[in-house]
Amino acid sequence: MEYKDYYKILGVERSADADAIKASYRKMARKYHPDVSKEKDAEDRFKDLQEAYEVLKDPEKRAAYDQLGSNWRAGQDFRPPPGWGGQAGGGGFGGGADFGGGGFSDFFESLFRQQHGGGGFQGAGGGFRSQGEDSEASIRISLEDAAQGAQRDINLEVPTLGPDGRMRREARRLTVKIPKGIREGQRLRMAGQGAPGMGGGPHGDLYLQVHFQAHPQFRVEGADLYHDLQIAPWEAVLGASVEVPTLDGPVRMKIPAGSTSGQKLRLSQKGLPGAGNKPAGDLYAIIQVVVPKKISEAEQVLWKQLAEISDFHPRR
Amino acid sequence: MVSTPIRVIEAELLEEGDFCMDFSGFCASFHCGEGEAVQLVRYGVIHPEGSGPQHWRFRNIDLYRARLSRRLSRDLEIDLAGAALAVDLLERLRG
Repeated sequence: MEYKDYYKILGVERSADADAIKASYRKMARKYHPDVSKEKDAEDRFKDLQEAYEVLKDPEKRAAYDQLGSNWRAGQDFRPPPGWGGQAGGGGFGGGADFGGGGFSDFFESLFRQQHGGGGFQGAGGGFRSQGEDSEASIRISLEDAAQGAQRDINLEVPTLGPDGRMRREARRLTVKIPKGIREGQRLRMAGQGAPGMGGGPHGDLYLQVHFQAHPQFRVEGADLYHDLQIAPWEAVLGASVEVPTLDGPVRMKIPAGSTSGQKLRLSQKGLPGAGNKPAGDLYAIIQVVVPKKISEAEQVLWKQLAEISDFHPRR
Repeated sequence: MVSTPIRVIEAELLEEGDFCMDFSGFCASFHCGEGEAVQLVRYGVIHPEGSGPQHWRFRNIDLYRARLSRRLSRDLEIDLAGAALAVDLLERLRG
């Protein structure tokens, strides 16, 4: 197993007093707490922090840890010295129960196992029972899935209780039913799918945050969809009936004569369906008048004629 | 060969959920005493519907916020007022 430099993890000198250790823990915990942090390795960093703080905040555990000496380097191969055991004495279960499903490292266990009543959380503290931590994950779905509801497989790494009573991470595949009408950023709760509890306590819940894949035709705002509808200049001037895509398939929409770029035309309730009894969103077609990049000679003649006879002056 | 049946997990929508839990149901789900639940309401961590514990109704989002507040209080060593603020800010960032 690897030696862990708890002082380095907490960013303090070996001579740091209890207040400095507490302050540093609080500062770093804010940075790496999995509920707060955006850092990729936040969960592992936070577990290390909790483990380091568990040892260094407790004078007896800290003294026992300090007995190992200061010549060890983080990551160095480590075996407890012969005759090691129970030096830490006393103390309570402390942070172990609060740990959020990951468990302390082998290094910690090898040093302070005796405090935990023979290793592992199950043996700790007779009758101790607590609910497992909640887990969070995210899933990316298509707009079509959001509109119609879907079943999707997700692969997760979840904390589970090993046969030795210690937490470990295990790959798990779940099939989740996504309700129709879900919105970007909303969360799904899957009761009892989080980390297992301690001492026979219930599992925590799994929260799945839903994100939408980029769609080639629509942008989403809440339940409303936006579609850039490109039309020809003569369609804008004369009005037209054009095909507009919706999540249920194309529909025809009437473009009023004299339409211009940027105008919004609404297709009522053609956005995302409402969840439960909520109304569906709308689909807005944003008009974009586009001009041909290449034109034939005949077209050029006609455009010139138009320019000559028209009294339209957009900059006047 | 017998294939293992796929277990489909029913998911509840957190943000749009109904007020489905009464006071005792919330306390049981959150594994807390009534006093702790009252404090969570007082500090604005959770927002039940109804007046007074006897009539309070909670949503799943309240359970989520209560658990988040518990983790933050415990891991960051902050009091309930600080946790309530952190929960609000985190939810706002998410929104």
